[in-house]
Amino acid sequence: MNCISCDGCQNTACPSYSRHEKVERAVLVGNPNSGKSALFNNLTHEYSRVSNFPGTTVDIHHAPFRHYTIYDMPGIYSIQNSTREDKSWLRTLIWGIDDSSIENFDLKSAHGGVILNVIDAKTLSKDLFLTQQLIDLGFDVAVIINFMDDAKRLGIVIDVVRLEKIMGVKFFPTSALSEDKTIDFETVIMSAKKGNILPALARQKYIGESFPDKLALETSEKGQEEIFPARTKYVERIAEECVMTAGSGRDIADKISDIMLSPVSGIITMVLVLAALFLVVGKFVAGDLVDFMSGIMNDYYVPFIEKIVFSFTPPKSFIARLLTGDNGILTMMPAIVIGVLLPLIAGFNLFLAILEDSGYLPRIAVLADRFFTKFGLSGKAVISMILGFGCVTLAIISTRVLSTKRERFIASFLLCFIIPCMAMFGIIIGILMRMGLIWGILYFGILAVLFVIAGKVLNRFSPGTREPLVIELPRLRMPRPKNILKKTALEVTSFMKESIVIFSIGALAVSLLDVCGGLDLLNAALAPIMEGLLKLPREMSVVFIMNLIRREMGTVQLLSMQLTNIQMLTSLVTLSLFVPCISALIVLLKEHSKAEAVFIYVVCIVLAFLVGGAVALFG
Amino acid sequence: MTLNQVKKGQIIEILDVDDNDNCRSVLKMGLSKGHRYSIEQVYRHGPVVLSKGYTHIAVGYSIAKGIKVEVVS
Repeated sequence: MNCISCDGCQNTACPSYSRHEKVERAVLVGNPNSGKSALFNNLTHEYSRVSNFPGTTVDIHHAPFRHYTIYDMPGIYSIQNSTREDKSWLRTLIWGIDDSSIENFDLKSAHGGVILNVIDAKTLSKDLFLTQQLIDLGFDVAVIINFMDDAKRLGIVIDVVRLEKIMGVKFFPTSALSEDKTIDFETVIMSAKKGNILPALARQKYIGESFPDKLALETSEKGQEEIFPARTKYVERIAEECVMTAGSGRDIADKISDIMLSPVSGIITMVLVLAALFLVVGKFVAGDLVDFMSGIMNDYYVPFIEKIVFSFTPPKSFIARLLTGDNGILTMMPAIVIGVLLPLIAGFNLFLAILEDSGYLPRIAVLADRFFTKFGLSGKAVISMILGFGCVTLAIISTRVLSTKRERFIASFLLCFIIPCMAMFGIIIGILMRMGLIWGILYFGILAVLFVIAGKVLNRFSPGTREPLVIELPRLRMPRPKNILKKTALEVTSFMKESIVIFSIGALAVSLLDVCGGLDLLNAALAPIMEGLLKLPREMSVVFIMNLIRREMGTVQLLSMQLTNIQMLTSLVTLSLFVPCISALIVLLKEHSKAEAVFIYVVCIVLAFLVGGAVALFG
Repeated sequence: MTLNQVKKGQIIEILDVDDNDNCRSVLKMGLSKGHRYSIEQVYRHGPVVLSKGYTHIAVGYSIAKGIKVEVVS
């Protein structure tokens, strides 16, 4: 144990020792994309999602590190500008008290929590603002200077000793991404202390005031107009004094970034990246890989299971039909989950993980901003939309980075209505590849037109105010194989776990319905919609019902159905527009008001059938 | 002039930021009076990308209209 002032003594009377016993919580606080989650992961060996765009972390994660609890927070630029929730969690975590008692609380009796402020070595003059503010608010702070590897490469030298002297807190240089192990985090946590107050504040003798007063000052007009600019200037001067940059400071990452951002080459890049996605996922994953895996499952696995089952029960028996029938739990379920979904999910996630890690997504947000403004969304919504192609449920949660309720409503609606999740999308691309180019163009054309119409209508009629784009562009980074593989592996495992359970229940339910004749009743009941409106065989009812539970579970049934091309297009369009899976509904209810969630859900179902009916008319 | 009227490659100094909620949101990122930025990219009726050191910030069109600037070089 390394105490800061006494070299690791075990003397319980020593002030450092008692302090060590007292500190229970350490909270990682810093600007968006400063690498808090990467540090958190190194420290706790848990996995908090790491990407290269601001706003990856939208929830608070916590995990033990030795006898402390470490908290990973969503990034903030300053405390007065963050939302009410942000303030309450910050206070709660630091003092371990609930929000209600904060009004009567004074910093003097604060205990148990310290702040580990994470800053980016490349952007000190911006990041130190939050550092100084945390100090001014009276927190115990230790600063971790992250991305030192980047800084070194770019010729940035930081005078840590001088920084410490001016600001009065300890600074620890590190590189979380390269898993630098040179600093001991217990030392960092123990070294957290109160720093030197902003001179402009100190002169006005604010130091003795209580924490609620200090916080109130930060949010007040005086805070915004006087203290704010004073602090900005002050930290900028500190950065000028303590940071030296040698060399030109521009490298290949900046040049690629220029290409990605320029209006013409940027759009070409975007088209190329999307084309690569379709080619890799559509041709290689949804085509070749799925064929290969399904082949193994159907040629070797299914006959093997059938042989075993039929050895103790005749093929026509109730049990045999449950286990190995058309929807058999032991045959159909594993054949789909392992043969079709596993390669799709792994392939898509890998691609998305690379996009996320490279820092390209916020650049697409900037390029698409003008277009998205027409739908009342800022370009930031593009990130959610792209994540939606991964998983709509996760994407709905990610809309938290959008600033207003109105934007979140529009984005969630478009996600539920238009965007198919990757499991479903992979199957759809696979089917379209077999149908031919013209059908692919028709499918995507219909979805694109509907996206534009829905966006415009929502923008016109949704209440509330809009907030324009403000986003920091992270430096482009070479995606790190380890993080990508880890992220993909985690996504795939959690998907498989969920999917196997739900698929088994679904398969069992359908088999039971089938065996006792319920399926025919259901088909008859929905026949007016299926046969009358959509001009599809009535057996499609079950596909839609399964789609309600899990989208790919329904869509995958199309693979074994005999449909004409126009019927297939009708099915694909209707199923894509049809509401997302049950977990998306749960998240929708959690993230939005009940009325909004129900509205989105019902409107999506009705519109899906209407559009499907319109497509069928052309048949 | 306002930030939406600048051209790529110029260096500007911020003279004033309109006092409304949208514009205030850029202050926290350091876009405030007296600061100099280079213009990395301007999209017609779209966002403006500014840079200072290694910080790159994109600001939407309607915010850019509310930021008064002066071209320094």
